[in-house]
Amino acid sequence: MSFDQDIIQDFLTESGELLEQLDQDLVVLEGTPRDPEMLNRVFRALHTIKGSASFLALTNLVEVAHAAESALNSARAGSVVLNKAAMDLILGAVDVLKRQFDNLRAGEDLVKADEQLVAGLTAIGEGRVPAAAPAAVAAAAQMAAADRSTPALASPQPEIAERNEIAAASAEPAADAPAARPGASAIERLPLRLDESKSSLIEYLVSDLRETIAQAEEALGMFQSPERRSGGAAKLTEIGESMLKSARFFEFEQMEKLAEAIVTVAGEQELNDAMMTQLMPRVHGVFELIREQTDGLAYATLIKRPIDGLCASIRTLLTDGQLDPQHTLECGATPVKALAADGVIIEDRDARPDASAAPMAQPVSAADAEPVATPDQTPLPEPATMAAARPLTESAITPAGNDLASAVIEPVSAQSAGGSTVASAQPAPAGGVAEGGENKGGVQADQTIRVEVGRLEALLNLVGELVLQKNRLSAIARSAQATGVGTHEFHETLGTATGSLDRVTSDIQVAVMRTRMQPLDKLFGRYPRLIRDLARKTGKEIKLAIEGGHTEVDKSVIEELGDPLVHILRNSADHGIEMPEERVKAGKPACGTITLSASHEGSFVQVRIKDDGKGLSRSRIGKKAVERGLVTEQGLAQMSDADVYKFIFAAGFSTAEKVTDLSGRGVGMDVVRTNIEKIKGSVDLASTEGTGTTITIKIPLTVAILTAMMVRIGTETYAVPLASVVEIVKPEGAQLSSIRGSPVMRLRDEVLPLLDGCEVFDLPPSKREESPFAVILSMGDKRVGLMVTKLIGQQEVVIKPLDEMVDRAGPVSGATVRDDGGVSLIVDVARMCRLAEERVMGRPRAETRAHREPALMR
Amino acid sequence: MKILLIDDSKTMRNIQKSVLTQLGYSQVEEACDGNDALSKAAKFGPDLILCDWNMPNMDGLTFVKTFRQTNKATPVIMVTTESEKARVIEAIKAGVNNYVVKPFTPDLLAQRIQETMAKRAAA
Repeated sequence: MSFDQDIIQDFLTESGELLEQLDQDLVVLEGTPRDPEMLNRVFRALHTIKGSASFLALTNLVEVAHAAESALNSARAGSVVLNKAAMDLILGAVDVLKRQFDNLRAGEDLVKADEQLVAGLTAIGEGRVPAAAPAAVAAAAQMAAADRSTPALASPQPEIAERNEIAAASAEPAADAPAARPGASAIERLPLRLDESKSSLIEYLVSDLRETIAQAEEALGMFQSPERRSGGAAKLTEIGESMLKSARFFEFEQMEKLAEAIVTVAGEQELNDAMMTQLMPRVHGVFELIREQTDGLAYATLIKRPIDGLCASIRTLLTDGQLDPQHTLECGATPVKALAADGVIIEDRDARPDASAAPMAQPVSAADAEPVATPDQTPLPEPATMAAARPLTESAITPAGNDLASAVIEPVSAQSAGGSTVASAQPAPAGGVAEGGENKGGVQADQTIRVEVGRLEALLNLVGELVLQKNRLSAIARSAQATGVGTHEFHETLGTATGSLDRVTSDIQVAVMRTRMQPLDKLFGRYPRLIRDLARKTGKEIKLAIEGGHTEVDKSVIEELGDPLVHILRNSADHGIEMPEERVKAGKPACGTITLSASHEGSFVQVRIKDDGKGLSRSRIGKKAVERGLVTEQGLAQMSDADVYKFIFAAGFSTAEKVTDLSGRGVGMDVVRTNIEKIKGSVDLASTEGTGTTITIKIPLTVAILTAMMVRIGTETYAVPLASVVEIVKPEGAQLSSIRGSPVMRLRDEVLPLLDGCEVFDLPPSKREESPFAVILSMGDKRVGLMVTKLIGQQEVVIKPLDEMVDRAGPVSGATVRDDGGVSLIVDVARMCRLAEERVMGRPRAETRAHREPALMR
Repeated sequence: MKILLIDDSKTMRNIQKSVLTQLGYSQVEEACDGNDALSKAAKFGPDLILCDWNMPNMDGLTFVKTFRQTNKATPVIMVTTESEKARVIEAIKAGVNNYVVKPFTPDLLAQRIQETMAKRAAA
């Protein structure tokens, strides 16, 4: 594959989104198989994916996309109605496409779709819908697609084979297209390969280099005038040296040579006018090349070109005072001429991409048109439908060409301005037709821009930094006021300034956070397909109702929420919802309902998964818990239903009598809990035997910035998430006692375990009197008191993850930089609560629940 | 191998020291700011310096700049918080040989130390 990674990346992003949408749309379509709008939408998505893929010569992908497209085409034309079996095949094709996308992402060869799948789809395309085949066939087709070595189950019919040949043949010209690229000249553009720590600095390096080159040019100006030469030389040396260090750090050989040349020139102060005439254009040329390198870096490209001639010329000039005639320049030569004289050719950048793009566009558009050139006899009444159906006629060439043109323009224009020629080379007389089809997308595209996640991450980091500096400034203002330095007026002005800075910072913070917010629909959209497939496999009838999908949460939260939701939904579909007969017997509708809903609740988002299935079985869970030694028989008898249900969150706990391939391997719910706690959320569960289960997940809107209570424990400062702080008390002696040697405190009518901060964090032990405050923390239904030395106050803190260091440092979930510039650890309340329970009871967590009450009675 | 560990937070020093010990580096001298580090570097003669950025009295960048005026050979690994990454280029231009973003994993620190020492040996 000789394509720029950029182009592939764009394809993956854009078509990837289409693919995801396809899944959702197809499930909707299954319910309303005659909906013309939905049929058009699905057809267009497949068509677009196919178009871009054939441009990229992804033959295997084109084959399956084309087959699915033709099936949709015939449904759209009204010659067939898609039944469940047909839908299985189309969804199977989407799965193959997804797998191929994964292949592409991983840089592997694309899997080939199973012949039976392609044959089935092609048959639909020809108006023959499969009989309501068992799901197993589609599943087998999917499985076969995963493994290329699987022999075809049936040989394709001759006419289908013919069609396949057409598809394959039509894709071929595109396969040759890359060869049409002009051979690179002496310049090599290599992808920049750096380890992650270095590559993360590149964008900073690029902006620094750009600034540095500007400074270098200024310094060179000084260097040229004899009076200011020494100052200019000093500046140039400094710039050259620092560039040299950067180039060595990143191991950019060419830049190192160029920087060395600058240092060499700057070190030479005995220069006559003749030498200057020869030297200056060359130094400007060096800057030009550094600039080129920098521009390359900005696109993660390392540019290599022969520069030794130039460097040699500069050296010769400085040592001998002159050059051999063929390299000599006339007075007033430009950097370009100077570079040319030394064998460095600056190419005409604008000309390059056109030559490569234009020959590619032609054969592909022809290829695209051929398979769909089937005459369409069904009259279509509405103009809108007409426009969308136009690809069936000869005009198909133009929209297809347009697709290609836009696919070409984007990556190319990112590198240079040459792309526009491609668009004008492909005048689009029928542009209106193409636009008619893509209208909805077009309008939306105008209102949004695509931003790399990395940039938002960087912005968020900067805002985090801004928050820290703001905190720091406020702290300085406070301490200045406290020490009484400066006039009253000064403090007032400073107070007003820090106050408004505070407001502006909060506004910026909110605004930046919002750029990272995404609707949960993005996540929820994946599940109708999941539930549909589960229902089909288990033979159940399940409806998934989604509510509040527009609720927005931080991107990182969405990422972390995906897996837990899959686990929960699978559990509901597999264990919760009963078989239709069973449901009818229990007086419920045959079709089970799983409701997935989301809503805002303060600074939290609540996601609820509710099913109307059989609910959790107390007896089965209890039996299992006893078997696993999590609780004793007597203990179990004393537990509430809610507490018994919570056993399903214990590691490796499963009551499934048989392990299915859907769920029941016993790794589910504890992973759910761990994942949710990782993003500082909590999971709750309610269930009624016979009527269903509801799982409620509460997650914070964002995970990057946190309001914290700063406390001192011994000599160190810790941050406690304010959302978990219930209250702060200064316990009296009478409130304190101990259970089995572990301290507890009585707070009103409750007894809470107490943790000594110094002990938990392994700090030098403090006396009781030195840690007078108990910060009461809560997580879910658990509460614990944490003894601290001093309360410092509330602060916005930016969370920095700690990764593997966590275990070494005690129950902490991250670190943060304080307003005084120091580093503090953030207390992990969930782990703190677990730790407290274990200490008080001296046993594993689950059992403590059963014994807590009697123990406290003593 | 002798390592000079510069960080103003005792907790951070302890964490890094325990990592270094686990990696088998037992000769570790600690300094709590840039000034302290300059005098300790002169006495201790380290083979490698791990330097925090944000410290009272003299920060890490100033330390590197000052240190590099007299010593161009001893490798310095800058240990910085993520937010200072935008300024890491400055440190690189001042002559830092490698950097680690705080918080780091023991593996990463070990890897950076090995990389740095390997480059030093090659030079």
